[in-house]
Amino acid sequence: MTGYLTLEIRRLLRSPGYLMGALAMPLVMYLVITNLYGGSGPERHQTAIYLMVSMAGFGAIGAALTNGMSVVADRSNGWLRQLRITPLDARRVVIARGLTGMLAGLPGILAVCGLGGAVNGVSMPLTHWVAVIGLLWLGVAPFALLGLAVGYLVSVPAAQPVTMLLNISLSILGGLWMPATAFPHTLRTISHLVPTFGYANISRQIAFDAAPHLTDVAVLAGWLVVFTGLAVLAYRRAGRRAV
Amino acid sequence: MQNTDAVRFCSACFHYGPVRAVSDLDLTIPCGQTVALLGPNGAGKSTSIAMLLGLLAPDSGRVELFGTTPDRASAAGRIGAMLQETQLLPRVTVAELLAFVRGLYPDPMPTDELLRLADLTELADRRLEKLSGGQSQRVKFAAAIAGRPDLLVLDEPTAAMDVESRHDFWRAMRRYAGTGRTVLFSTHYVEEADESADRVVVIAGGRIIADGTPAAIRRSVGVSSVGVAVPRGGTAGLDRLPAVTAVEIRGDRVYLASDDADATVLALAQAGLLRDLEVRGARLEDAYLALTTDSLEGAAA
Repeated sequence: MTGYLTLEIRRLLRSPGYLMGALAMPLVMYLVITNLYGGSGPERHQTAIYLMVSMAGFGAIGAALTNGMSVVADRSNGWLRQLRITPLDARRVVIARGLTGMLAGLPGILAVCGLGGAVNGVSMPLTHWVAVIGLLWLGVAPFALLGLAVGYLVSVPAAQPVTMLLNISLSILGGLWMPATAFPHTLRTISHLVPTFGYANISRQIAFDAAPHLTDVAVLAGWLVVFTGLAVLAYRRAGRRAV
Repeated sequence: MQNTDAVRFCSACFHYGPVRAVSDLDLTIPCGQTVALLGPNGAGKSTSIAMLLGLLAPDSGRVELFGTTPDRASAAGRIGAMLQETQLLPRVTVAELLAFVRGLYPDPMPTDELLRLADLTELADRRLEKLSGGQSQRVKFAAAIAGRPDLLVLDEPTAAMDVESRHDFWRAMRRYAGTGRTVLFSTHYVEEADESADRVVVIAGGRIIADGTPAAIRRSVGVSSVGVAVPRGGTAGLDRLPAVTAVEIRGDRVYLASDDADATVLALAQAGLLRDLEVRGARLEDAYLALTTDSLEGAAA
């Protein structure tokens, strides 16, 4: 599996366009939105932290989901069939691909957090920085797998719009673009069950010096299991149909 | 394990919607054989190969490789394949791709040997998207044999190659087959089957219509060509000579298609017509055309 992971990471690092794209959107949104909310003093600092976590998460999720598009290419060019007749089994393919997707999410997290510290004056203890960045990165796993599931499952022309729709709807429903506390009651309940909500909230709690909620961790872990299973099934199905 | 067959199709069928691509395919390939799957486009070659590799599940019947399912045989690293219409992975070099594939198999071929066999030593650091058509085919071949699979499957491997590349390709393939491995390849170039296979399986309309050594298939159609100079008295009556099925005049020569060249030549000698005799056995291509035409007519009737 490490061989496959190495191969895919090489391919990822050799697609600068995709990585730059994954950086630009959250960086621009972060700068624009923090200046829109404005405020002053501690309030401004809180907003900067809140939005930093949201936008870092938004960038990471977008990159991780979009990584699924590269498996769409594998499907249409026949590489998937070629992989299927090697000893590499579905689980290891999906894990290696999932890790690559997580890696694709890392630049966005680092860039937005860097910008938060350097430009928007976010200050936290070092341990908090490490925890926030680390958890934002680990938490992107379910989204990387969801991206793969879409890439393996959905028809080639539909994969791109489906990925984009998932990215935007998950980001909005999970309160990455605006706080879920501003939602009406029913929508707020739904929001808590969406993986993006728990994902960002875990890191937000730490950034505000509080303990993460266990329910957030449980919801995110639950989605990880669901999306992993879905991605493995989708890979098996895609390998079979891609003739 | 040694006495199990490499490939066994048992009444395997496959439909694409209402279209029967493969009907009741029964085919056994013992270990070590090099088999050509020959047939016109749409004959069911690629569908059969996809079932063989576990990429398509048969609608009915079954397929076994080395006494187990195709998936298990793949998982054990016993299968290598070069598929049709596969593009190579972009943004990776030849050496990186082959190192990856080698790493998947329990007993891979040493890199030097692999590069030499597929004639890729010079191209090792080239990115895959920068290769020409013939070079890509060589890389695909190298990827197929990198794991030293017991069964090598090649689906129309020379489709995109020029004459010289094809020649080099088959030489490399025969060297690999010479190490005792089983090879199954499909092609629509009859001469490739004739030169490189121990056994030819002709398929048309999703069924096997002939199966044997290239020589046996040539004989099964049994048409030889007997040529002599055009007799002074003209060609009348030649079609009534023993075993003659057709008469064709080309320039100052006449060619008799014959089911039994010996009888035809003897009759020509008795009639005093033996001048500039030329006897040629049937070519595999003639046999193949005769077989596939019969089968198409059979299907149309």
